[in-house]
Amino acid sequence: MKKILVVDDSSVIRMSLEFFLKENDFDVVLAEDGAQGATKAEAEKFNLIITDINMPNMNGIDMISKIRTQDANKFVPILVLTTESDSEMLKKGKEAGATGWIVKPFTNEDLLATVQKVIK
Amino acid sequence: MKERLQNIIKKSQNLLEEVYVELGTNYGNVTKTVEDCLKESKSLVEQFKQRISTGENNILHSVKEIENNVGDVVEGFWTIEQDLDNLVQVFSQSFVVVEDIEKNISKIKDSSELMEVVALNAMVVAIKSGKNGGGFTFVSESLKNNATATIKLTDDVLGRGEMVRDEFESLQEILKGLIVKSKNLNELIEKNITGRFYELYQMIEEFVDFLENLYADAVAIRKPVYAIMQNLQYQDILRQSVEHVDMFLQHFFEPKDFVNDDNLLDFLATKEFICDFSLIVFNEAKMQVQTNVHDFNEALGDIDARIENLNSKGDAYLKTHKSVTASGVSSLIQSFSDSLKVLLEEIKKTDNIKEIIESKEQNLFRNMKLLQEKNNEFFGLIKVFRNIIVLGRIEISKHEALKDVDNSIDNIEAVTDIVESAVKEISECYEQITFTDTKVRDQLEKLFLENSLFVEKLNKDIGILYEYMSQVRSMLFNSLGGFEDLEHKIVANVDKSKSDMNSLDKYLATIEDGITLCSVEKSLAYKQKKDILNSRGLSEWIVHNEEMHKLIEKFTVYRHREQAKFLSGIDHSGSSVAEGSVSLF
Repeated sequence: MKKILVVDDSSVIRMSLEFFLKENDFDVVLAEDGAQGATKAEAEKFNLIITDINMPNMNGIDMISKIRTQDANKFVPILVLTTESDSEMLKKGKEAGATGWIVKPFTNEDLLATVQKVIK
Repeated sequence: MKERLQNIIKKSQNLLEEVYVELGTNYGNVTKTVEDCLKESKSLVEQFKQRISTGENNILHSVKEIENNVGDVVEGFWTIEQDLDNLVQVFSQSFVVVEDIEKNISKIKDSSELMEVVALNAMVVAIKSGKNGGGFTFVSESLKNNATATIKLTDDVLGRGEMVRDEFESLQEILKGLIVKSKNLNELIEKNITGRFYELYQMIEEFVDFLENLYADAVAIRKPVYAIMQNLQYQDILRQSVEHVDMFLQHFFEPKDFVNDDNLLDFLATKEFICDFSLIVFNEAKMQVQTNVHDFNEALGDIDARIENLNSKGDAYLKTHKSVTASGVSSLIQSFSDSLKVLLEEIKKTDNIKEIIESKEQNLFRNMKLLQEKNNEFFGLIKVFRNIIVLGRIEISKHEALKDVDNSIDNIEAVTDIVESAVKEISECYEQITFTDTKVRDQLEKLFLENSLFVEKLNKDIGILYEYMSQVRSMLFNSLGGFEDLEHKIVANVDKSKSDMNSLDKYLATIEDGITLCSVEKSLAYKQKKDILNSRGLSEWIVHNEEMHKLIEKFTVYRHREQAKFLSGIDHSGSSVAEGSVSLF
């Protein structure tokens, strides 16, 4: 079973993603902010990381940059799931090492299709 | 105003968090319940399917086994029927043999009568010969007496032969009766058992179809549940939007004491901006919550309808197929058992027939033995005839006068030969009958043994089927119970969600307060700003507040950031991607 790390400060979003991904046969691990996400990404091997951008302690962009410095996570796909749609931010995300960018609100179908595409 | 607005923001944030976390948790539970129950139901359906379709120890295998065995029994009875037919044929052949005996006995009788005549002639010749024929008189008298004894023996043998024939006839009748019974039994099996297998197959298929159908319906409940889960993400957007307003309140809504002539216009313009922006956010939140409430209600209604559908389907199935699910299996099994009972009773009756056949056959055998003994007496009489002939020839050789009876003695010898050959033939017939009788007995033994083996096998198989069918019933009820459990849990969650929705109404009321407050404050600020601008001879006032600009840059919802920039007069021509869009790098 493929394992996905979901990083989001909103408990509702974490919950919603967890159930949706589990429903589609993924194993899900949750983190509440960027710092926790980076720690979990280092401790466990994931097939995909989904992260929000605006979070306390460490934001998503910084977390991505940190994760990319971890040897085991140089090539792990990272999807950003955010309310941020500014092109400049997208550019920053890409530079930090994100694989893709999904602007909220998203549909479950789009999310699943993207997850399946990048996890392949 | 700041405090009141902050209260509204705080209250709305709390309500928003509370309601959405409640809904999220609630629907998280619903989703988990759906998934757990579906997994359980799926596994039950799979188990059910596996149990009936694969492996050696399964229901279809058992049904097939029984069907084969019933087929074996039917075939067995058919063979018995054929064998019985053959036996009747054998008996018919035995009739021919009995008739042969009768013919031979008649031949002996005729010969003996002829001998009586010849003996009388010899006596006449002996008398005519006077003194010289004295020795021959004894010969001719012995001849006559022996012929009379032979005739008497033939009558005895004929009497016994008739008895044997009667016994053969009665046995044949019994066998014919057995054939009829065997045919009836076959029909009984065909009617009560064979035809029921199709019904059983159909019933099992129906079980599986229904469970799969019910499972598909249960799976479909996911759709509205996930629609609700998907809608929960708007809470996150709303939360961030409300936070933007809060940020402004924290930083810019200074108490009036700090406002002086120099910063009054900045203060009023900022206040107007904050009210404007708050109105945008509040209106958006109001609209979003209203949309969500509508969507939630629709999804809840959808779930209700699906549950209702699931319920009514299950009820309808149980109602219309009560006989199948509850007592149907038992009744089918009962029907099998009843048929089996009838079968056993009929077979028991066959056992009586077996006893009758055995007793008849023993009787026949005893009579045959007696008949054979009587036949052996013929050999004694023939021996006497031969001695008489030898004596007769000696007497003839002594007296010339007896030369005339020489031909008669030759005739007597010839007749004796005929009688001897007839007696030998009769002996052969007896042997043949005894052989047939043993053959019939062996065949009957074999038939009855096969019969009881079939029944024993069938009885055992039906026992296994009964056990399997009981398992099917309990599995079916477990599966239905799983779906029922699912319904109860979902209904409980849906009810809780409906009550949670009332909190969203409270949220809307709070937002309305905010809208009213901001509208009033905005008008006041605008009016105040306009008056001051007029008094100073100015037409417009743009806030040049670096801190405010920096704060706007911190807005996490891009759309609001752009709206805030627009309202505050900052350049907002940055490019962006659409909401809901997916970009892969």
